Amino acid sequence: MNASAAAVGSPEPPIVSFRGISKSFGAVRALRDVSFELQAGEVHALLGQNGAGKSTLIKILAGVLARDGGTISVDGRDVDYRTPSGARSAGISVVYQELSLVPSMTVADNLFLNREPRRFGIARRGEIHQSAKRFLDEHGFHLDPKAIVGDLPFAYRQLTEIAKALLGDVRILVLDEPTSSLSGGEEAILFKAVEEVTRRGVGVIYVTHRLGEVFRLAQRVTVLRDGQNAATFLTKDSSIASLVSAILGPAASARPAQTTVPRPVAGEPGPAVVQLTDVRNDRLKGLSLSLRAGEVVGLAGMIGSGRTEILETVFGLRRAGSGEYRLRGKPVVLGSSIDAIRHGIALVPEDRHLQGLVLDHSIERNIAMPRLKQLTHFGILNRDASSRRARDAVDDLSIKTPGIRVPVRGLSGGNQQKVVFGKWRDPTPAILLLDEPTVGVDVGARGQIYDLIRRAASQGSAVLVVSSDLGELAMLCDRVAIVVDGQIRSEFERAAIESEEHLHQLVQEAQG
Amino acid sequence: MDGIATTLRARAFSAEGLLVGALVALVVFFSIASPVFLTLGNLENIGRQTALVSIIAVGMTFVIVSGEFDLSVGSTLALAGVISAIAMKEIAQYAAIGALAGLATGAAVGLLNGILTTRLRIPSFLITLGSLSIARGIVMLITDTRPVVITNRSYFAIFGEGHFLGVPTPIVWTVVVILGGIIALHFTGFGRAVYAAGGNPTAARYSGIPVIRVKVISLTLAGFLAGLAGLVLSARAHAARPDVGAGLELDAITAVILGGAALSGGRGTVIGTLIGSLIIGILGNGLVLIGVDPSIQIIVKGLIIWLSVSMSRG
Amino acid sequence: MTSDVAAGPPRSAADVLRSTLLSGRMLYVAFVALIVIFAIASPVFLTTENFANVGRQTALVSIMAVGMTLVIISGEFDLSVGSVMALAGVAAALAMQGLGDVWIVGAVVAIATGAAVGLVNGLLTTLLSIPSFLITLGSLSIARGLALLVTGTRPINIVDESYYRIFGEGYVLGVPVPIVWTIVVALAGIVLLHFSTFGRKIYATGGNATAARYTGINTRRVKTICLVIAGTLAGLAALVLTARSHAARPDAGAGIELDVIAAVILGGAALSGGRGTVIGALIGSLMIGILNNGLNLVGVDPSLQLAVKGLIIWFAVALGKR
Repeated sequence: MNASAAAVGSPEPPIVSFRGISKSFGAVRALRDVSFELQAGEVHALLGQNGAGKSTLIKILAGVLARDGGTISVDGRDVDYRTPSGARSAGISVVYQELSLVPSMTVADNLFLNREPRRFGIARRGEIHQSAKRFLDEHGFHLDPKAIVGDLPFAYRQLTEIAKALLGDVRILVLDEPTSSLSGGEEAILFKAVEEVTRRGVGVIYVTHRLGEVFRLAQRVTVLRDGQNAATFLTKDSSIASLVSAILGPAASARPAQTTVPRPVAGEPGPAVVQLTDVRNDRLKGLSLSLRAGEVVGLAGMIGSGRTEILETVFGLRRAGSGEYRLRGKPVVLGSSIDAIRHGIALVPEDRHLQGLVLDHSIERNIAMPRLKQLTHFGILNRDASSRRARDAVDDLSIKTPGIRVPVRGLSGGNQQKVVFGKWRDPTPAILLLDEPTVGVDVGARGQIYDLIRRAASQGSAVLVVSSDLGELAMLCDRVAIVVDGQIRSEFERAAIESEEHLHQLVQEAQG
Repeated sequence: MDGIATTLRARAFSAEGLLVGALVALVVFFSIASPVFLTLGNLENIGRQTALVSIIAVGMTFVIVSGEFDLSVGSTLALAGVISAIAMKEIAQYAAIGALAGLATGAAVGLLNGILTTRLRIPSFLITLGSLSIARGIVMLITDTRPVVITNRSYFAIFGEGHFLGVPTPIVWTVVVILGGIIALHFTGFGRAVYAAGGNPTAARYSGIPVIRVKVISLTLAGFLAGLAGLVLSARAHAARPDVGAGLELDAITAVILGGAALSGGRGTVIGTLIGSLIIGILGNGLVLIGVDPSIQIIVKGLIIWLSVSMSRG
Repeated sequence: MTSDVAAGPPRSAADVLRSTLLSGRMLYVAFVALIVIFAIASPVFLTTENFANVGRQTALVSIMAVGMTLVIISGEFDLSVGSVMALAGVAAALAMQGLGDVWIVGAVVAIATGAAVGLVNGLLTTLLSIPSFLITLGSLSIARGLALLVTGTRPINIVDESYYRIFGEGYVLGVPVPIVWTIVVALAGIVLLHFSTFGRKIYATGGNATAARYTGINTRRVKTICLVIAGTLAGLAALVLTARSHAARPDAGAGIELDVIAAVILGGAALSGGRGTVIGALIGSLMIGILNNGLNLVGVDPSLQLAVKGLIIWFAVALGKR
């Protein structure tokens, strides 16, 4: 693994290099013997699927997590820090996905937070303001130091974040998916800032999912897969196809190749169940989509493209705003998820811990949640029926648990996700919405979840799946729609999608 | 992480055992320390004294399990008692009129708390801090700070001084409320919704549970039961005093938390609350019997709050 | 995480109204309006003497509101300040009785008592990660019980003349000392919160605790210090109160935490932390004081004043939301 990194290394000594980094969380080995290096003035992209170990690596570099083994050296000297401020003093600065700014403070105050120029404990406000202004001007940031951060548009908050990260003696800047919530114009602002920074000799580690950006910005790419180095390339010698196959690995080993449930013969779609026409709200920009009974439709696109918001709109969590929403041909206005559930719609949400489950409650309690009406007679809950329903779900979905009274917190990710599916199992929903249904789910459980999805479709459910795992979509779906900026940019029938790699290319092309 | 969580949970479960153990230990201790403690008369006394806290604490259990707090119950109790007394004096001397007026007053305060909390999305402890003051001010205002005398004998009998199968009616009402609370919280679909709303409001909403309505109903129920407690208190005293019930919210919250409810909602039982309320009541009664300074009792109350919230954690 | 699910409906009229009210000027408008109304309703209201009166009456709330401002901006609450004030006053009076009637003894003991309770509040809140309003609900009871216990529920007399003069009855340049103390505390609070680097840590801690930690701020220490300051200022308020009444009553200050919190929230602090100013809290405190004073002057029932206080809390929290 080290060999590939060394092979393309340039003659200059790196400003930072990690060798043999490993890290485990309990039994899970998040990183195994990962190596990486960065030259001054270089943009080095870090790629990999969710769970490949990128964020763990970044957090170790930032001093938020302690590594189990391996060495980090800056300018050829080994460093050993265990705190964010330790990382700072080694010249490493990280811009996180979650903004680490205080919204009620000004740009200048945020830049100098906890390192204010002071005299006898009194912050020198004039100096803070002037230094901030000088710094922003010198680095070409178009930011008003007096602006309140909370009032700024998102891209400018991101810029403030980067400015904050660059202030002081910074040699290494880490950007963690900086463009995931930015629009096209806003990206340009960011890219300009990155170019400006590298011209000053700062090395940039750039974590992203967007392969297009890699070719625009980076000189080198390192791909992580399953917590290990998969490959390191010079971007000029590589192509999207080679990056994609490095990201996915040989034969996309983490996924069962096929579902055991046969796909219905093409050409017999059911009636249109869900029809959205030119729907516009705060996140959807004229979205049109139709979904027929018995088909599985995939939504592909970047994080922040509006994929999740489409599901939320169908599920009544967001208003359809202007535009038309028809269910089974009739126009509807859903005021809440309660209305949606009444219409036979079910949602398996993206974040099962936050949106799907009450972690401290038992399997039985969780599974009963959406069906309390059905289980209640004259106000009294039929506990036997609820237990039966839970036991059926446990058997049917092969949930591994000592019993239905066990809190779901103790279950594995895959089994927790199956409990979420179990909530909606009986009766079978007419419309099943799935948001990243297999994130954090082990391989065995994935296969079972794929079977569940196909089976629901064969029983007549209309299924809409959002996933960042394009192989999953390529395998599961009858149709894949690519979402860009709150719209469907293009749509492909199953027959038109040759492979996962092909779908990756289609998605990248749709970004424009 | 999961390992730590499991251990904590195991400790919480054993904390339930600890709670019953504490109750038994208190009973044993006071039985030895005071010859009067274990007499039927004194036990009835404890029952009567804890009736108010127990009735209110059942309502508070719903509120806390649903993820909210109600600091206004003490003032609501006073307001309901006074309105009940005035209704009987001004409209007609029927116990039913007093009861209806008192209970409706309590429920109305609770409903208002619920609507303001959920509509304005403001922490309920602040909204109810306001209603604590408002309800108390209204009570003082309409009574001119003087007690309102009640003369209706059947009112006394029904709520305060009568016996039912040989059991004093305050205790009967407590038992009724507790049984009702157990059924509503542990055996109905609504009860499940209360747990879900407090355990994870987002997941509950995504599962089609009307979280806002559940919280409003829980706060209304707490107000209603504070109203009932107001009736019990005024029937015993033959008058509705405007200054009663101050600080009762502390006892009620302590009983609920001591009974194993989670501060953040989603966990708690009516039985646990009852045990918590009994511990507080027995401690109060026993400390008086063995002649401890009432000031120390206030300190002990505060220590119990600290103890119970630090045990609750999750 | 792709989405914040708080589906944003278009701004309703209520939102627009609220943001107008929140723009900060509303408080000053209400403040001036209140003064104008009472000036018209009562001839006595607009006299220097009455203003000195209001200043004296609001001194306790104002002093404690400065501490509460720090606490609320850091994202916590302190419900125990009323009891702490009583306990600190009693402790000061007893110390002077026992150790000698020298004002400095009382002052040191009162301040130390307040700070000690604040420290306990802070440590319990931050180390156990329990909401501070519950911890301080406990200390409310404990401090009150201690005050009642050590005094046998009776007031303790204070006989030191210089103590009266320094904290309660004297004048500096013609200004009554309670007002002088209020000004001193307010200035110190302004310097600490708005000019010192520590003040920035307080805002950051309450505004975005994660960001603060990632920037290397010890948020637990910041919160604990804020609660200690709140306790200390409750101790100072105790000195002002007892010096005016020549005695320390163990039942003093019950319910005053409501006024203090209302003043801070009315002054524009956010309930969730990260926002607020000392000046705002002072104006909030003065508004409550003027309201009480004015309602008294125009002869409104004290019971109604209690209800009005509750309405002010509702009003303040509805404004202070966000």
